[in-house]
Amino acid sequence: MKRQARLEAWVAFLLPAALGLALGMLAHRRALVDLDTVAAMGSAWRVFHWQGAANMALLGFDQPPLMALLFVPFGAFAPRMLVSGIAAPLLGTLFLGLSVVILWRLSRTLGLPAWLALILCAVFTLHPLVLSYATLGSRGIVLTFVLIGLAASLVSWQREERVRDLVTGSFFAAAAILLAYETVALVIAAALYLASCCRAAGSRTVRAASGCEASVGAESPSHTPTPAPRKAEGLLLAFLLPAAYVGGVWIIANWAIMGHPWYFLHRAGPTIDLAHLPGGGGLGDALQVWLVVNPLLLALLYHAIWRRTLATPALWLLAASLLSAMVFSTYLVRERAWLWAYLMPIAATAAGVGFVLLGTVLAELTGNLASFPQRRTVSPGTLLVLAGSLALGVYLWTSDPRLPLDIRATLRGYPSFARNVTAEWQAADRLRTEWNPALPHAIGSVFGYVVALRAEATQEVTVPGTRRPFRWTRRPYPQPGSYIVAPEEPGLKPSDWASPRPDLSLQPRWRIGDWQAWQFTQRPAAVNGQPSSSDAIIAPGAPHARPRR
Amino acid sequence: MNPTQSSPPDPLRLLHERPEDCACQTWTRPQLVTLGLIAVALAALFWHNTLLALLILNAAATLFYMAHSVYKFWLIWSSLERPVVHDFTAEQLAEQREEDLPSYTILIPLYREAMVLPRLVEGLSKLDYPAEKLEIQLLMEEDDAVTQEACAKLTLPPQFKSVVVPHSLPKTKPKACNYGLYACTGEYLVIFDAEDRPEPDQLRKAAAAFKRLPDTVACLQAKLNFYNQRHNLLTRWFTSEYSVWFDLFLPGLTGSGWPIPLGGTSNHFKVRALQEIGGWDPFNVTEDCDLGIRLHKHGYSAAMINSTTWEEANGNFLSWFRQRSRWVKGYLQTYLVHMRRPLTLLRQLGWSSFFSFQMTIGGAVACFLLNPIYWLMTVLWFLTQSQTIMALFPTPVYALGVFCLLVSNFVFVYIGVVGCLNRRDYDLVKYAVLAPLYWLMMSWGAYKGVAQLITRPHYWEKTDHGTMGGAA
Repeated sequence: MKRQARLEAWVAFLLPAALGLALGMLAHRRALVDLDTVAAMGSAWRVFHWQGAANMALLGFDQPPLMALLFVPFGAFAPRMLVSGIAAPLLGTLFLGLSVVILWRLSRTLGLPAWLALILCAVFTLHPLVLSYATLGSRGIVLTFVLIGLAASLVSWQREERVRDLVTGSFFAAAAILLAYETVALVIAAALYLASCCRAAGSRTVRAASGCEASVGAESPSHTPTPAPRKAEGLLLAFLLPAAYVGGVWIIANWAIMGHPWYFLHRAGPTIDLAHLPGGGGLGDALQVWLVVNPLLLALLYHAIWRRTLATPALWLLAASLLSAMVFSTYLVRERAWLWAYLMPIAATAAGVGFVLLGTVLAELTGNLASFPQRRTVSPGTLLVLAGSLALGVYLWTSDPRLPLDIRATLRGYPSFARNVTAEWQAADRLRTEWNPALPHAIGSVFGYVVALRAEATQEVTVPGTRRPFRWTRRPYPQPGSYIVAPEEPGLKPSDWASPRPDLSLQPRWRIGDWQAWQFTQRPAAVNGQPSSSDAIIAPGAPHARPRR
Repeated sequence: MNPTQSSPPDPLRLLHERPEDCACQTWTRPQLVTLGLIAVALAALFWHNTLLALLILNAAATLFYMAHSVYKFWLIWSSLERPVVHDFTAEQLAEQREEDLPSYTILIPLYREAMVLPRLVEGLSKLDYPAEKLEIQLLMEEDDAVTQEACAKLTLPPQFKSVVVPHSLPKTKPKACNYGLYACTGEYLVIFDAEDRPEPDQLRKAAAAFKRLPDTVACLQAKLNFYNQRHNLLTRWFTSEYSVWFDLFLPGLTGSGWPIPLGGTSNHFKVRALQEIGGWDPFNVTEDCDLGIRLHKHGYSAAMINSTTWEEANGNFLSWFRQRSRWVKGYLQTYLVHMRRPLTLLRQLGWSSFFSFQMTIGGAVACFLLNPIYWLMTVLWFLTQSQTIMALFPTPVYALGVFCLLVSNFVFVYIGVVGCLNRRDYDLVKYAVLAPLYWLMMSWGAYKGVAQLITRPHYWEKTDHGTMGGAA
C-alpha cells in the first residue's frame, strides 16, 4: 500500500509538472513574463552579483521576501537561469506539481475514490488561473501551494490531531506571511480555529509521533487530563512560533537596513493608509474574484456553515481572506487592470483553499470517512446557492472581456497576467554586448529592472524605476561612454536626462521597440574661443565582455 | 542457563578479551600521532597565512553545521512521518501466557542510594510480570555500607537478590552491571536506575517485541522521561531535551537502521548477545552509548518500544552540570575508542551508519564546542561589522552561514517545542522556546567534559538521586 501511495504521489507530481513545464517553456520562448517574478529574480541575482561580495540585504524590501528567497539558490549556483528567465517557469512547475500532490494525498486520505480525486486534481491543474500562475512562475502559484498546504494540514489535524500536521501547518503559515502580508489574517484565523478545537481535557487524544496515543503510566504526570487553556496555550505557541519568528526577523532586517521597522509596509503598494476604512466596493471586488475563480465556493461555504464538517478549517481561512481583502487590498485598487494584481491573495485563496474545501465536502458526501460522521445529504439551501453562484460565475466569465482567465489561450502558451518583454530582452541583449561594465549607466522606466536583470547590471548601473527622466544627482556620475536606456516617450529630449557634467552630451544610439538607447559623449573643446559647430563623438572604446563575477 | 555461571563473573571481560574496544586507554599511539600531525599542519598554515587558515577552518565548520543540521532535521521529520516504535495494546499483552514468558533479570546498580531504596523496591514489586520469572539484582558496592544496611532492613520479596560487588577499579556503574550480567539467570535483561519508575507492563511489551522482531534485534530501548518535569526551569528544559531525544531522534535512528546511542537505563537485552559482545565497557562513563555502537558493529540492532520509564530530572544546576560533563566526556571516549581503526569501523558499519556515527557521536560534541565560538563571532560582527570576520565568509560560506544562523537555529528550537507537544506537555512549550540559554549551559558542560577527558578520563561523576522530592 505504501509503495502504491508513493507511486501515486509521483504520478500526481509529474503529470501536472510536465504540462506546466511545456507551457512554461512556450511562454518563455515568447518572452511572456510575470513582472513581479522578474523583480524577484532580479533581487536574487543582485544578492550575489550586484557587488563584489554576497549581500543578503540586496534582496530588497519592496516586496514580500519569499519569492526572492526561492530564487536565491539560482542566484548562487545557476545565475544564468535567472538572467535568461528560465528559472521562473521551472519554479512554477515545481510548485504546481507539489500542489497537486498535496491535493491528491489529502483526497485519498479522506477516502475519495481514485477517479474522483483524479477529476479534482485535473480540474485544479487545468484551472486557467492556476495554470497561468504556474506557467509564469508567479507568486500566485507559490501562494496557492502554501494555502493548500495550510488548509490540508488543518483538515488533517482536525481528524487525528497529529503533531506532524500541526508542524507542517505552522510552516505553511509562516511561508504565507512571507509571500503576502495580507495572509496574516489567515494565520490568525487558523490559530483561532486551533484554539476553538481545544476542548475539555481528556475528550480527544493527541496522536504522538509513535503513531499511537502517548503512553501513560500509573505515576506519569501526563496521565492527568490537560486543561483546555493549557492545551490552547501550547498549541497556539507551537503553531504561531514560525510565523512570529519570520515576521520578527523581517521587521528587524527592515529596521537594521532601511532604518524603519515598518518600511516594508510603506512599500507594499502605491499608498497605504492604515487608518482608512474600506468602502463596500472592495468586498464586491473580492467576491467577484471568488465567483470567477471558484464558482462553487459560496455553495461550499454555505454547506460547511450549516453542517459540522471537516471543512471547518477551510471555512475559517476563507472568511479571513475576505476580511483581509477588505482591510489590506481593496482600497488600493485604483484601476480595473490592477484588480488581479492586488487581489492575487484572494484569488489564490479561492483556488487553493477552495479546492481543499471541495475535496473535503466531496469526501463527506461520498461517505467514505470511517472516523467522521457521514454527511451524504445536501440541503436545499446549498443547492440554491450553488445554482445562483454558478450562474453568476458563468455570467462574469462571459460578460467581462477584461477577465484574464482564458483556458484556451493558456493551453496555447499565452498565460493570463503575462507581459511581453521581447523589446526589453532585446534591448538588454544588445546592451550587454556594447556597454563598458566598468562605467556607470542608467536604465529608466518602471520596468527598468527587466532590462537590468537581462543585461546583468551591477552596481554601476542606476535603475531609478521611474517613468520620467531623472536628474542624475548622485554618484556614480556618467562618463563618456555611459549609456542611458529608457522607453521613448513623446516630446522626450535627450537633454531631459540631466547630467551634472556640462562637458558631456547625449547622443542617440539605437532603438528597439519602445526602448531607446543614448550614449554620453565628450563635447569637443572650443576653438578660438568659439564653441564647435558639431559635437564630436568620441568612441567609448571597444565593447567589453561582461566580466564573470 | 547462563554458560558462565560455573566461573566467577569477570566484570572486566571486555578489557581482557577485546582491549581494542575498551576505553581503558583514552588515546592510542596512532591517534596521538595523527592529532600531532594535524596540529603541526595547522600551526604551519597559521604561520604562513593566518587568514587562509581561519578561512579553511571556518568553511569546514560551516559545512559541518550544515550537514549536521540537515541530518538531524531529516531524522526528526522521518520520525514524525513514519514512526518506528513497537507497541502493543492491552488486549495483545493480555493474550500472553505466563508460562510462555521468558525469564528476566533486572539489574539495579546502586551507590549511596539508601534514600530511594524503599520506593524503588516498592515500584519494582508492582511490575506486571510473573515473580517466578523475575530475578532482580540490587548491585551494591562493597564499600557502600549505608545502602547495604538500608537494604538489609527491608523485607525483600523472593525475586529480589542483594548482590555486593567486590571492590575493584574502576568503580563505575558498567563494571557493577557486568558483575550482575555474568551472574544472571535470565534470558533477557534490563537495567534500571535507582530512581526509575518504569511502566508496569514494560517487561511484557519488551518480551512481546523480542518475539515479534528478527533475531538480530538484540536490544530494545524504552523511552525515558521525567516525573518531576515542572520542578524548575532546568527540569523543564531537561524534559524537552529528553522528549526530543527518546520520542523523536532515537526512533528516527532505529527507523533508518543506524546505530543508536542507548539511554543509560531501560535497555532490554538478549543476555546471550550481550555476553557475546563482552558486556559493558567498565571504563566508559557513557557505557550505554558505547554499547549501542558495539552491538551494531557485531551485526545486531536495537529497536524502540512504546513504553516510558519515568526518572528524576536533575533540578540542581551543579549536579546537572556534573552529569552533563560526564556525558560529553563519555561521548568523546566512545568516539575515540571506535575511531581507533576508522576503516575497520567503516567496514563494520557501512557508509550510512558510519556517517550517522560521526554525526551523532562526534558531531554532537563538536556542536557543543563550536557553538559558543560562533555565537561570539555573530555578536561581535553585529556590534563591530568587523572586516576580518567578513573576510572569513566568502560567498558560498556566507550563504551556508546565513542558513545555519537563521534557519537551523530556529528549527532546533522548534524541535524542542515539537518534543513537548508530542508528550502533550503543552505548558512546557513556552520554556522550550528559551532553549538557546540551555544550549549555552550544555556547551559549558562540554568544555568541562573535554578538560576532564584529559585529566580524569575514567572518573565517574555520580548523579545524586532523591533530591527533587518525588513527582512534581
